[in-house]
Amino acid sequence: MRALTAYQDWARKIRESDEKAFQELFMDSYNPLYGYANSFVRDGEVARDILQDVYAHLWNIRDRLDDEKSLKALLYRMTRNRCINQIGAKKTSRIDDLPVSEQPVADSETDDENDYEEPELKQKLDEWIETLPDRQREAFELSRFEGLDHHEIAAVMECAPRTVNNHIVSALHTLRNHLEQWRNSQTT
Amino acid sequence: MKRNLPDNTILDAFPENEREEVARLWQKAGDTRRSAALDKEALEAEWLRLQHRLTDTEKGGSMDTGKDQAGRAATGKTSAGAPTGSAKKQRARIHRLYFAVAAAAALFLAVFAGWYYFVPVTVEAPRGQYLTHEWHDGSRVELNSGSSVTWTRAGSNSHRSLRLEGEAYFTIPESDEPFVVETYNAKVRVYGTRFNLRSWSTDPDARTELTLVNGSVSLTSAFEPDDSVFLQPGQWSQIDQTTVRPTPPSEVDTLRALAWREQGFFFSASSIKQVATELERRFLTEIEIENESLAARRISLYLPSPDNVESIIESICHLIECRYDWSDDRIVLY
Repeated sequence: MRALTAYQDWARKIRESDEKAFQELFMDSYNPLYGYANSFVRDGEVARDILQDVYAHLWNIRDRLDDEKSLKALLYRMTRNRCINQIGAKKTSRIDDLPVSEQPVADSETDDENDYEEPELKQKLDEWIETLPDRQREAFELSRFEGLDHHEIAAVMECAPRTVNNHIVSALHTLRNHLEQWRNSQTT
Repeated sequence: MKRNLPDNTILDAFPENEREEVARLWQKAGDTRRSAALDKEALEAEWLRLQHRLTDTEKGGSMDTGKDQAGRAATGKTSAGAPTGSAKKQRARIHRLYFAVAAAAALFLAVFAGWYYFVPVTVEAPRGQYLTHEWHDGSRVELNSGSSVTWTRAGSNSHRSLRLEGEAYFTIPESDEPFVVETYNAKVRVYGTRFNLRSWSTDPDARTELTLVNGSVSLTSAFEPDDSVFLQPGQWSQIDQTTVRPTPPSEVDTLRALAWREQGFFFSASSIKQVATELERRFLTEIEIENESLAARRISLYLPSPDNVESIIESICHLIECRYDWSDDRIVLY
């Protein structure tokens, strides 16, 4: 809740050309956005250039900021649009640079309840998330990693909040199925 | 903290006995995030970079202050050229002359470049005519009578961001580069497509109407940049004075929306004032409406291939039971 009001506060101040508020927003939001941009472009320099664009554009349109609308969602959407423009058709090649999975863990006497401690699972999960359909993965990541709510995600992805929920639910279904299969393969 | 558990709307989609598992999966997924973050120093550096960029822009780097930029560039040169006190006056004078010449040349270049790059290019179909314009990348626009598109030369594909006043049919080949059309109250983002955009800002029934023939476009209000709708082929959406937001896309007969391309007309609950404005634009005839109540009456009419303005006026008069007369070279409706 605190974060939400901070964004609203910044939006109001930035609209009145408050450079200090703009700097606060920059410092606070930069790294999450940087991680987000990186998840698209996978190149720090490109991501930094994109964010320069995003913040510069935000400053240029500051008089049109609406504190009823989520400034956070706006930042994510501007970042997303620029990333998609940047990678263009290469968008679907995200899984190319995935690490090849490690050798299976020898000791597999873990049961269903605590296999969440397994390091291998973390890596598997990572892989499964990467192979989700694009829209599902995006909704899931925005929700899980960026902490955006359904309405903010809907604004970023330009769809209805209900669709966002459907995407996330489908993503979790898929992940759960992967988990089940993986468990079965562990016990055999 | 809140995000350590999925929203209830998410959990509700799962059977009760699975929820715990899903919640744990959600938690575990949080560890997978590859962290990419700048340290404090790098972050400060990015902030400085941004500030430089923004100050540069305010000094005139942006497109719409092109003239200003030329002016400032010139004053910058002149002051830089002022020598900082020297014993050798002669040399100083020559230096000064050099700088003056250099400054003049720079000023000339800056003004010329500013003029070339920042003075907008306009392609216009005069009243009574149609005009088709095609760009080197295969993008094409067909302009209805009395319509124009405007863009600047700054950048290699600068026409991919243009402004429309009036009505036009666009054919945009698919491309990774964005293509954006702005009107007085809306913004259309194009993703490789054919569509009709109609937006006369000064018409009696002023509004922006977008009809998609094929491909995909989005329509965004110029005043609510967060509000967009995406259109499917065969759909239509509009932004008028009463709604700042685009209307939900609805199915439409695209042939009717494109009637103008075959010299036709399509009016849907249009005011007689609006109809007259459009006829004037197409036929170079002045049309006068005797009284306000007649001007405000609405009419729906589809004329795929009208012969001339008089035949159209005749049909209208027949439909709404009014009369017309020629007065000099004007048509008077009463």
